[in-house]
Amino acid sequence: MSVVAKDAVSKNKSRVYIPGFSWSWLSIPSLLVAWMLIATQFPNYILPQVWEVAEEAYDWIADGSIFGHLWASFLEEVGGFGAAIIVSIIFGFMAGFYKGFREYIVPLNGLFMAIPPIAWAPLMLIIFGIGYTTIVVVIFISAVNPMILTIMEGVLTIQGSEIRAARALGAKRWQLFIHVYLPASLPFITAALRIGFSQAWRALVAAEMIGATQGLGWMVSMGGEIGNSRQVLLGIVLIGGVSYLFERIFFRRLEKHYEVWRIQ
Amino acid sequence: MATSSHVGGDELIIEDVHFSYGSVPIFDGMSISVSPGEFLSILGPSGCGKTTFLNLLSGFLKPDAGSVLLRGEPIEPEDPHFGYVFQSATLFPWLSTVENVEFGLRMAGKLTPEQRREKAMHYLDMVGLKGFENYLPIRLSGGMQQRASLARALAMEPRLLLMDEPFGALDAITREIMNDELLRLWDELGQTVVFITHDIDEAIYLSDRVLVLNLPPRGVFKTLNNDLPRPRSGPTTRTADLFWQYKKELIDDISQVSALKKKVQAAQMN
Repeated sequence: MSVVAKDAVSKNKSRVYIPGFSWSWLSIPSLLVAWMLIATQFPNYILPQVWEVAEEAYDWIADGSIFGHLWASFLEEVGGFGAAIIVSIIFGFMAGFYKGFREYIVPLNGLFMAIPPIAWAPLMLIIFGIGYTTIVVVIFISAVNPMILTIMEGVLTIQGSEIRAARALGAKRWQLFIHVYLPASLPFITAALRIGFSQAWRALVAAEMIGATQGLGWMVSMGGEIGNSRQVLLGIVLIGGVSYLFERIFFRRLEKHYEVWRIQ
Repeated sequence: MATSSHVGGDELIIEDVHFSYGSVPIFDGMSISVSPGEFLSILGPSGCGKTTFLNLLSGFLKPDAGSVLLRGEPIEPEDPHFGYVFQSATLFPWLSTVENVEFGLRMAGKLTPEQRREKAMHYLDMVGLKGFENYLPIRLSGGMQQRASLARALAMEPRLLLMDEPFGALDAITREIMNDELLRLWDELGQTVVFITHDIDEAIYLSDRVLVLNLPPRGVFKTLNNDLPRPRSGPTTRTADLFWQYKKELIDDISQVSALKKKVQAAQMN
């Protein structure tokens, strides 16, 4: 075996790659271990152990009350985020197409994005009172602005050359929209949905902590008020978990649909 | 198959076209006529208005005065009688190769999906892309993308084909192959072709006539009637004495235009 060959072999060895392997399996377990270790340093009414929060979860599930809160939060997310999707697609495309409208709306988006959504909650409480409408409006305000900007940027990056090619192939105005602008902007719409969803979910939790009588945010704030740290931690786990799962299930579907469209 | 494929070409008349960008005149009364089935190349150094010229021909830009007539009618970009092949392939990345080729037919909406597919497959086969119909464009090489783009334009069965440096981004060998392919297709289909290029060899090899553009707004610097016999083939045509004679002439013309450009630029600086 020559020196060169030997060298090549050792180089190959140093680049061992196992397909499908990822260190991500370690993330959640290590977090739980850290939680358990830190919790040993505190009395359990301040920082409860993982299994104590699990017991708390069992109680909430057993008496069914957890489902009411999940459902309430879910409906608010659907209302606020759903409205934001419709409005941001319309306004995002308009801003992408019309320079004047873009110049008009971009400063407004920037202004609204500079205000933390929760700052709107007290005003909405005064206007709409405690409950669904207040939360939905706060969610809408927080989600719609970054979504408009994302979709607008997407429409702006659609290449003039693609539009020219489509026109030269006889595409009329509405055909350009359906067959070029829409599919070409799908990656940006998907990105806008991702951003909007997480913005909406954050705003939802924050708003529920102030202006609701149910929901996951209410669970956390109420737990804090009555000094039940188990309930607080359960709420936090659910907030994170629901968002994580929802994103995985919902956006996976969306991406698949988008791929089908690409092949179709 | 070969005989039934013939599409034929239309006459294109550019009549006293004036065009300017703001106060900068680009064309000042340019007139060219292209006969049915003619292969015309437009040659010129960069900045002499080649692309503007093509945009005027295709109707993407409207002349300030004068007219561009295809079969006696002012030309529109959406006109199904002409096809446009761009500098870059501009395939739609979300459509498969065959769907890209079908695009124009789908917009026209005159054929059933089966008929569309059949026609698209026919032209894909013609440009040598059979077997790649389900590939997304991103998986095709540069030359294959340009073939697909050509098939997409041909599927509309245009009677005028405008080509804007279609092979400019390809390597020299692929370019020569594509030149031969294009001649073969043109021979079979018989369209009128207006071919923009900055490559002298390509212009001579392909065309019946070569126009050298002058600096704007001076119009055509020179017309070269190309008497190289057809059918042309790489080894014979490219080594023919006439080929070299044309090449010398054109190199000389281009360098004159370039020298003028330098002079004008220097004058603008002062």
